[in-house]
Amino acid sequence: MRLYLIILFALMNVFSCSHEDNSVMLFNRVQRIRLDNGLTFLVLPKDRSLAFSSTTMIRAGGIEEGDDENGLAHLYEHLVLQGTTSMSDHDPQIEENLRKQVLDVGTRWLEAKKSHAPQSEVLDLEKQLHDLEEEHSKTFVDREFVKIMNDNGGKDVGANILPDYAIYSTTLPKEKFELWAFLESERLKHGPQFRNYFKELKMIEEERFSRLEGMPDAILLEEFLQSAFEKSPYRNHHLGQLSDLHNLTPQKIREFFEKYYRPDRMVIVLVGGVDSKHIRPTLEKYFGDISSKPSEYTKMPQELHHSQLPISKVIKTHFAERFMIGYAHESITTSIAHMAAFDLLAEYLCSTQHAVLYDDLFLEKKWVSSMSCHPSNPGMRLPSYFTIRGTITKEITNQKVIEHIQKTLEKLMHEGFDDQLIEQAKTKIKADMIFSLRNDDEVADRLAHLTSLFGDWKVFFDYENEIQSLDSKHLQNILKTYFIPQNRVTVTMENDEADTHE
Amino acid sequence: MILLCAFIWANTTSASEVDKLSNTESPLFVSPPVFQTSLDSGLSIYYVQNSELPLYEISAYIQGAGRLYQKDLPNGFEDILEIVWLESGTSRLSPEQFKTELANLGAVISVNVWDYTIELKLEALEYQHEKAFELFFDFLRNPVFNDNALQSFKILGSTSREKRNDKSVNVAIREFKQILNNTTQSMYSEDDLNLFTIEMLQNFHQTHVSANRTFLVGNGSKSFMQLTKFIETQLESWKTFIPVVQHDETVVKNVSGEKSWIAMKSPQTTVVIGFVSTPLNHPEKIKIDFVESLLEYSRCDKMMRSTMAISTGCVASHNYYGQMGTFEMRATTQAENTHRLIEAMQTLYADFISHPQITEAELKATKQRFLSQQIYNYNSDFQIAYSAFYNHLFGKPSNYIEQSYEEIKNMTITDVQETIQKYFAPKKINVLVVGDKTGVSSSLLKEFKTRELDKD
Repeated sequence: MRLYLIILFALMNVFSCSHEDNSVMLFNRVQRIRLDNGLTFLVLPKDRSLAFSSTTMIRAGGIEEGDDENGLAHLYEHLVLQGTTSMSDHDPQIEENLRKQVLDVGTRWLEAKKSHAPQSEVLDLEKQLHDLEEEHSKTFVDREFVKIMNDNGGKDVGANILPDYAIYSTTLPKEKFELWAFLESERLKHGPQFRNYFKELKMIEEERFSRLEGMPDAILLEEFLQSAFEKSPYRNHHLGQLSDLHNLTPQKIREFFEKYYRPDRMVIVLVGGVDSKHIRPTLEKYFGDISSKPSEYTKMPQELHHSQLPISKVIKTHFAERFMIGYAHESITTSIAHMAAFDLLAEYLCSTQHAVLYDDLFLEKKWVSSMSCHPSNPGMRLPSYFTIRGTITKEITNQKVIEHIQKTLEKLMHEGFDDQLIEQAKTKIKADMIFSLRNDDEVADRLAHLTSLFGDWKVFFDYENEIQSLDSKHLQNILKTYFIPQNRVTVTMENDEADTHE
Repeated sequence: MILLCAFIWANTTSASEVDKLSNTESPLFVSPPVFQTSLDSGLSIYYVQNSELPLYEISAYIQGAGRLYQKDLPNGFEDILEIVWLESGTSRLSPEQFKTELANLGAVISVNVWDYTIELKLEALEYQHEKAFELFFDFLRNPVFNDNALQSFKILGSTSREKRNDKSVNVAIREFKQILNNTTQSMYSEDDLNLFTIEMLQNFHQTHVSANRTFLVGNGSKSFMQLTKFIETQLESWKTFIPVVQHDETVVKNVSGEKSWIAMKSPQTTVVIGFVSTPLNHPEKIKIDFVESLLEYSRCDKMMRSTMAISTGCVASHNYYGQMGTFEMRATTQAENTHRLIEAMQTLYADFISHPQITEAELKATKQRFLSQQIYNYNSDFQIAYSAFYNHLFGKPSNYIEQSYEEIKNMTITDVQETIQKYFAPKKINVLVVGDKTGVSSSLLKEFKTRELDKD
């Protein structure tokens, strides 16, 4: 007995906690639940949490949109936040009748505007639409899904449409789990109900305006995307183009739902105050009857990047001058090793306390007031760009900064990376991961991303190993392959007036 | 008939399912233990232990050193202190060495200046956390401010100044603060940037940072006993004592009825309505917060989204400069909708204070939302420790949560109406519009005192 206890004690100490093992132990609690219809859940309970965070990630982002459908995924997201008839007290038949009338008149109004019909006709249709919308609005609660969540203690209830995904997330008190299950499953089962369709269109117009117009970094990104891609769907900003949005129809939106909002394209992650032992029956009850019909294969254009690289573009504005440069590479999900290498490079150049470009351009030379690197812009599922962006100070020009960055990269390419700084960058990546464990929503997001990109969240462990195995030689090879001027897109923002630059 | 009944039943089942599932009451949150102690030097510790995560998150709050105590110093001192302190070394290590040591440990330090306190925060991994703490305490006690960092700030500060007018909403927040409260400092000017010296920073540190003024607040995997022992050993020789000076809380300005328009070239217009409000420690603060929540969520935000199609909705909140509170309700729209937004905001607010027409359903929904969301103040160990410290700093009772919970649960429509009349209906509210006045009717403009946005 005593020998057994000694062995047990020894075993416990062998597996006891260094900092790596604690986080590994936490991830070892992740439970995977797969329903018969193919829908996958990941559940990670945490003892102290009073709430749970959920992330539903669906491969139904901007890149799934067809030609001339830029913004469809975004509009879809707005519409599903309105809720479904099953959440409502009102008579669904009356609601449906009015909804059909609204869609009919609204479509004719949009057509009249597009075809430059007589003003009187447009105004008449606009009035009819307004009156019908008023009537229709009495049959449902605006943004009912969000309201019910918020009324029940929901936090950060919302959605995000990215080029690669649609992400729906929320945090709720743990006793509201079954309510969440009901609401989320209803949304996934029924899709959009087209409530407030034209108001949501207007909202997107306003959102696009507030997030893009007058926002220098957003303008810079949009210009970069248009310059960097020819046929790739990454060319279009996922917020949507108004001309495309006005051409959309409820039928197209419905088809999008039928094609892509399928269990085999989704993962749902729950982190925090969840009872992983008893959770399955609840999930079966609410999500089990979602159709298992497989999704359609998304055929992507074959183009890697712009065929005319390198590309350079200048935009004239009154904003503080800034730049964005991008180096083309294949999809970062080609392999975990690939992803790890680009992540480490981003840390080394921009993010660590001793990051090479940060120290040089910000602290020493004072040429930039801010800068950042992104390993895969704008997304990860398709060929993309490693981007470096920054806002310059009055001391310098964009051109000089960009030349300096290229020289720095070439020096690293040929002379190698500092081993100590590589270790620091690795430590930072690991530290960031551990610090993020404090926030259930971040953990949920991370697990959802890994599963969606690679099919299995456990690649997290491979990722850790790959990061550790990287050295100067690996990073030099990456630079030699991709970070060359012939492979580059450069977009700069410069002032209209002549300025006192060098 | 049977089919009709079945149809009705099928479609009402789900709605009543929402009601049934919504009626699970959120229990009153009971805080896990927060360990507290004070060392002989006067340094205080508030700590929550949690061995689930291999990390430490500890903040050192220095009382009597926040921006309220920097009024004799040039504008922008708080910004420069944050940036330069962060880039400094210590008496043992140069800035370069200090950053290297931190980076090797994967630890992060940040500096923030608040109204009453300065916060130095350490995030450290379990692995070699004791070394991280050593660095942190050295950084707290013996910073050597770095001239290179100061010069960087001067250049970068200039660029920040340029960017401060990029968005109408940022201008509105800044300028409205100035309208209501001229004790706040405006943004530093180009001349201010040249006034800062290293000596100024060192002197501030020597006269404001001491053991008795410091509160260590946070969480980690060590037990409280072990942590206290460790800190006592680390800070054994730190016995500096500087008395905390009480800040003069007199309200300097109480403006009402002002309607201003700051004209700037912008594709967006921001409208703010507000007034000087109640102090931070007001006995009815929880009721005021409740009414504010009702106004923001179920009135203003709802209207902005559904009527005005504004995706960013509405913000209605109290802000505090020290004890002094101001209330503001704010929304931003495209410039072409300026007229509509001004009218909508003014009408909404006037209706709210004259005939709010609160229903039982609205009251119930607001209570449910308000109470449910209180858990997020305590959903992390750091927040739990911080709340205990905060209650001490502002003289709140230790059972503040329970008291507040009961007060809100017992609120009636009459209570809400009384709170509106007492605290949300000043004789004349103030209005600020920031945006382009091109195309705005002269009759509307006449109502406002107009000026051009200062470019410098």
